[in-house]
Amino acid sequence: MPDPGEFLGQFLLGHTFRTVAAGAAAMGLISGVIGSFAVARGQSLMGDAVSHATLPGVVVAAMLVGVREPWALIAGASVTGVAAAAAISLTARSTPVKFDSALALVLAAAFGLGMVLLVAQSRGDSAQAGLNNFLFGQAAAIVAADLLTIAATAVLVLAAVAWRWNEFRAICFDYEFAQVAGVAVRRLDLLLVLLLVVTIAAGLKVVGVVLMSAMLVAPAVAARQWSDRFGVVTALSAGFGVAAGVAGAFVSILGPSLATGPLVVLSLGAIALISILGAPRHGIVSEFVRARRRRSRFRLEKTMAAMLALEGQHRSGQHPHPAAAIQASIPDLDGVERVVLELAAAGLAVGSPTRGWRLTADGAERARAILDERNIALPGDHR
Amino acid sequence: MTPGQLEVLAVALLAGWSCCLPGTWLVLRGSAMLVDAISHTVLLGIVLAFLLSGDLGSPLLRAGAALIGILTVVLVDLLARRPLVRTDASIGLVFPVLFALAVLLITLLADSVHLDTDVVLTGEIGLTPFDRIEFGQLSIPRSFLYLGAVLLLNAGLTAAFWKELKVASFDPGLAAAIGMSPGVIGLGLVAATSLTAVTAFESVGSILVVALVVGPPASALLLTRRLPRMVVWSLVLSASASVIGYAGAWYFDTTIAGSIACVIGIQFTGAVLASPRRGLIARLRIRRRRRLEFAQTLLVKHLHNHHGTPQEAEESELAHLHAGLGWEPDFAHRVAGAAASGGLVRIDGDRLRLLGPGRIRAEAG
Repeated sequence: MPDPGEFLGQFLLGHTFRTVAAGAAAMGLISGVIGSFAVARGQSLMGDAVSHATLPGVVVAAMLVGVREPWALIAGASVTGVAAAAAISLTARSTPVKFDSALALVLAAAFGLGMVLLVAQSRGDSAQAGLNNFLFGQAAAIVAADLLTIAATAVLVLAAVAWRWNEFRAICFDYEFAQVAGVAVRRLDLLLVLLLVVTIAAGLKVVGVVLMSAMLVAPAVAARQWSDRFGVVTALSAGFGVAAGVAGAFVSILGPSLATGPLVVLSLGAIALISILGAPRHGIVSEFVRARRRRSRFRLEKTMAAMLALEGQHRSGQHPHPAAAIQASIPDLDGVERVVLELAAAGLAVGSPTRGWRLTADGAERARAILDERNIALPGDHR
Repeated sequence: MTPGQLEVLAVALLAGWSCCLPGTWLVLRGSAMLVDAISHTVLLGIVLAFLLSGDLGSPLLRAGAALIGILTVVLVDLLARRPLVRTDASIGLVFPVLFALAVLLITLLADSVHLDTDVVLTGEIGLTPFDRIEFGQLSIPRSFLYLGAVLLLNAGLTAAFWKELKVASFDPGLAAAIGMSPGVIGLGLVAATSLTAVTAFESVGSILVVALVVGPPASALLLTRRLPRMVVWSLVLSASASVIGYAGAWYFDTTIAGSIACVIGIQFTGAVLASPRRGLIARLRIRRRRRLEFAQTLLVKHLHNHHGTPQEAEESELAHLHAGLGWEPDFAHRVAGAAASGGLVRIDGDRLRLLGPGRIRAEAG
């Protein structure tokens, strides 16, 4: 580990780190935004298919214009990406072949075509090295021209989303409603696909064809755990994308052979895992805690109701019963001895293991309220 | 063809047939993208197994990789059970993360592992004849043995569990009700797919695995409605894709895996367009024919309605159909021609006269 000051000066403020981090963060931002739409529409895997299908376009663009022109590569990628998206939806809509088969098939066939073209292209000149980066991405090779392209794409995508925010939201959640409400659904549908393709095309250099799908899906899935409001989900998703981009770029400068793309994706995976586990309302932990709390409340209430029923059998009322007797009246709830102690601690019951237990005035009132709430009448309870 | 080329072709054939047996069920069940996930994450299995065994040739590698394939599907399933995560999102999240882990491990271990990440995607089928195994006098490529075993296993499983697979794929509710436990059947299918993907992946790469698993069955689905025929069609399509793809790769001197994947894509496009009953062309023809039929009915009704009225002379003019029925002159001529050749009407100069059969149709329709 180098001296922190030197490390900061050399790397964090260094030109390379800033370029890579800015590129990864900008990609994280727009893929987070576009991904939240794709995931909400149930088209999470469209990104995977489209990103594979960009390969032939990239190769052809490189043949025609050259590998050093990021604009040309993005344009080429977009053309075949849109064609693939159109082929997929046409197949799924008008043949018995399902959406997922169409995705897998178009993905594999288009990528095969890309490979064939790549071989043909690499025979012509030695620029193939530049194209291989598109398979797994090579963020370290991002240069100013790439950064400019990514930034311009980001501005374009964000502007389009802001421009038609309500309409996009409507077609994601209720297509029929949007149609009836007079939204030009077909056109906006196409625009959304176009934005997805452009985002993917711009991101290829950062994370590559294979990992692109995670850039779209992971932040959106993570963000969805934290909120039920789509605006919040989109903003969070963008934030997660940026955070993962910066984190991936940071970790990748710690070692010479650490690729940025996989690190960004792993950061996203970690964010998604943390969100699914720990998000306040929808997370697994809070769900577990809630279930436990519900169970323990149920045990308390059921025991109180049983005690009330037992005490009601005595004319005097307020008669203590041993825990075993209470337990016998509610055989499917075990561990009544522990529950009565909890009740005693809460001031709802009094007594001792030797003398038995009875409800306090408070406890009896609570028990009656519980029974009333559930519309249960105790035997001999004539009120 | 040299013996080496024949062997490469045989590897492609064996891989294709091994893949399309589980592929048929995956396509029918709508879980084709699982194979995309599996064929990528097996890389993590290979890397982890290498870390444990330190040997790229060990059988542990295969078993480890197949296990990771199953683990992928189990993870996808677990995640998809969360109320806010759909299955497709779960696939799109799980497999790239596992794949990223594998790529990272490979770059970290670059000095000790000679696993080229590009090869993972494209495979190196051209090199399979060089890795040989000896049986006394007989020397065959190692992949013959492995792919042959997987093909036999898949064929055996398909035959043995035909009924179970069929019921569980088309009607999981019924399968559960009659005690077939569709979950176990699904997991078995995933295990077989995973083993197939691992074995085929070594020789043909993950992308061609996806193409071989999904492509021929999807094309076959367009050609027939009967399950046994669908399996036969997939085997035939898969074999022809291997042969044509290999020939194409030889002719254009290009990648074999890419070329076979392209042929599979072309086969599917052909099936989508030209399938006799459900292809786009057939459906377009049916639609045009129905439109013409309907227009003829409309025409005879129109003529019949105005028969014997003062407007009859005007309404039965061919040129008037534009005003009367809103038809373009071209279309009106086509309909009148079809009706005339069907004996429904007679064309008298520029007027139409209803004939007997036309009157019957007008009164019936």
